[in-house]
Amino acid sequence: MAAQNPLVVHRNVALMMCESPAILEEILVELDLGSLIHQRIGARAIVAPAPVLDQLRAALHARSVYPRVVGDIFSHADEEE
Amino acid sequence: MATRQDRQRGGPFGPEELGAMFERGYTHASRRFFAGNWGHDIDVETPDLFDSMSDHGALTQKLGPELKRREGAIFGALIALDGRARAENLRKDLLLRGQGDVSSELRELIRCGLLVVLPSSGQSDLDLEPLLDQQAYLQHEVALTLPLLRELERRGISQESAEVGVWSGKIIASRAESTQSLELNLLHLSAALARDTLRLNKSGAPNRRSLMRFITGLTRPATPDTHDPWLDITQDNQANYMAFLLALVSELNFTIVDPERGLQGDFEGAVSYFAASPQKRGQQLIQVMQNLKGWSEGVSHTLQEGRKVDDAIEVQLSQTRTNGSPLIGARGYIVSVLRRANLNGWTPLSSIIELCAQLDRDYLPRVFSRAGLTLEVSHYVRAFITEVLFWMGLIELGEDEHGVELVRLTPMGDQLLCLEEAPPLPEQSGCLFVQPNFEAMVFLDAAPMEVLYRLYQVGERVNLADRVATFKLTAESVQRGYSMGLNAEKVIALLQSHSHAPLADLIEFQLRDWERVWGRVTLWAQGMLVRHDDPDRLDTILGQIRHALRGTDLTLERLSAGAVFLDTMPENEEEILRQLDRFGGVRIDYLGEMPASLSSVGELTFAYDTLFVDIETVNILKKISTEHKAECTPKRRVVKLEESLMQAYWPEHTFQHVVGFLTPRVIGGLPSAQILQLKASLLAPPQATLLHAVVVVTLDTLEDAQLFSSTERMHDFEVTPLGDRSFAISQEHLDEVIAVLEHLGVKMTHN
Repeated sequence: MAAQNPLVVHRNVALMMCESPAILEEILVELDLGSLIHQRIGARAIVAPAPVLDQLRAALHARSVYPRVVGDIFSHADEEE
Repeated sequence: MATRQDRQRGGPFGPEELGAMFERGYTHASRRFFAGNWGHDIDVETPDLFDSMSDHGALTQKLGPELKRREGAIFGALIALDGRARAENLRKDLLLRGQGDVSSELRELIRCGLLVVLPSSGQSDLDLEPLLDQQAYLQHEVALTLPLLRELERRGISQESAEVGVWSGKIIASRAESTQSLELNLLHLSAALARDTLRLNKSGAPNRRSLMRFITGLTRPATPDTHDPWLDITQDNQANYMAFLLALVSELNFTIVDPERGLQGDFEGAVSYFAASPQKRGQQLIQVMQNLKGWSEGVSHTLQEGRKVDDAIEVQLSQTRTNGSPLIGARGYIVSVLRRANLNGWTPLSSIIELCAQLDRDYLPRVFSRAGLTLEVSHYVRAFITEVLFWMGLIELGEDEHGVELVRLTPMGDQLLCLEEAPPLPEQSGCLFVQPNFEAMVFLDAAPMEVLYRLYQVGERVNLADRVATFKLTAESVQRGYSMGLNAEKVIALLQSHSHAPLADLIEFQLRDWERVWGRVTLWAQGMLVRHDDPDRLDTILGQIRHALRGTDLTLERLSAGAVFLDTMPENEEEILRQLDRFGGVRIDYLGEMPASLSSVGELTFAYDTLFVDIETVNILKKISTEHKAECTPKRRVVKLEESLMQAYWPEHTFQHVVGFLTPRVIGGLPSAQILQLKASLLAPPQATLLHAVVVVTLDTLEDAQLFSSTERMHDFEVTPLGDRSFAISQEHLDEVIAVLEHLGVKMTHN
């Protein structure tokens, strides 16, 4: 029975959510996301490990897509001196 | 006794009033003291004494041919106060007028009889000599006499004589910072902090490498006309100014300290400040400056002496220390002194320092003592004036040809410290020039601060020179502005209303197009993906989470029937996990180790459940394997590793990469057979020797085996050791081996 299957929780995940499926399709055609770890879920979303978001945003910027960003982007930079 | 009526009357003393006071309020000793002062016998009759006091010759002799500056100031102040005043009030009034401490001059004027001390209410035994010795005269009213007043008038002494002697000389150097430059620095810094986080070390001081990113574009004080106005924090005094700017933006609530990440800006929150009128902003700045907690002019003073520089800078830059708090009262005191002081034009800095030290002699030492600071009043006041007030554009610093340090209030200082009415602002228009290349040039002298703030919201400042700032409008910067609540119409209206020339159609079109594109894509930086293959069950779980976190800012995005994204704020994450733990299941953390999710189902072939596998594993498998379509179902995928794909994905050390990838991900670990197969596929194949038709000889003991293997005949056979005690020998040598063993006396058993 499906209800007996366990719940799966992915922590520290980033999400790219598009206004419509068409926009996601357009972005996927324009962007080469092949080298990025990501997974499409549903018609409008892509999820990725949080540390990958910076690269995803850079890829979007390179195509002049400047998305709204909600929350703080994970970064390994500027560690304690 | 002096009557109430006597005391309540104002003006200089006439003979009648003076006589009544002598009779009723003074001791006999005082009257003798007074008589002696005017050259009489101690038993002189009062009328004769008054005659002397009215005598022109006697008065001239007492006053001398020329009055000293402070004496003139005392008489001038008394004339302004209708002839009489409390001595302490007079002293303070003259201090505030920049005349310095006149208490000793007051004492001398009383001692020689030119000023008359009034007895206190109900006093009948005023004794002048001890009064003068103990400085108690400062608590009494002093008055002019009418004859003296007439003589002073004759000499041209008037209330103007009490005004501060306006310094007249040649200023050879002067420096002034404008409040607008300070605000532009605050704006620039706040905008940068809104875009990026200033990393803090554990001490609370900024990470130096991170800090260097934020100083770009900040100007050092009083450099409007130089070609190199930029702040250089390798210089101690400029690092100190940077610390002052950081403390101000913090006190203005433009920033917050996140213990995990660092100093972050709240640029949207800054609108209430930058959109306010100049007067209101100025008042807020004065208030904030006095309440500054994260920066201390007390520490700053040590920098001027060049000691403990590194420590002092670290302390000043720290975003978690509140070393400025103990000085809040001291700042308020100096501001109140300057507000009361009548400063006209250039004034020696030393006079202002003396004024602050003398007006309430105990106040500043008491503040320092309570705070445990070993500061000298003069050093502290100097640091406050030459740093804080100077950086804020409230005073101008100068120097005369003799090296005397001078200060004077700037027009903004006049408005804010002396509460002068601000001149009406001219109608502000045409401060902008927007070019078709999307560069907006702003003429700072004509630009309201709110316009600059809005331009920082939608643009990047790319240049600042000659009082002109240039902002570049880009898709990213404009869309960032849209994220802060602006829209294309508002930006167009802003540019049009302040632009020198009509806005080009191209600009309007592009601003609208960027708005159309903006908002189509949203990135959520960090959250949880919750999946369940039963949508109803998922709904039930989500309902419970919503209930448990009601009243908090919880955002859910439904991605598909069986998948939901939760925007987990750090403060909510623990509670969400606690709620989810009630339902059991699998946890995958992308900042931790991936759980095993692959099953080995055949030769280099693995299967996984699409629901339970992590994103990273699926992505990598797609690159190094092909799917067995026939065996795949929507929930289960079966893939076979491909040698060429593995080598393409990991061109170097392919075998090690593959084993490293699979070992933690395969449930129960990667089987040995798979490792051998991978080795055969990716490295040289393992080598094996098969022996056919062999006799195996096994000796009972290790010693016998070693003796047997070392006999001469054994070298004639092709013997392959099998372990410690066994040997494989070709079948063709069987008879010979038996013969040798019989010869050696070995008892044989045949199996």
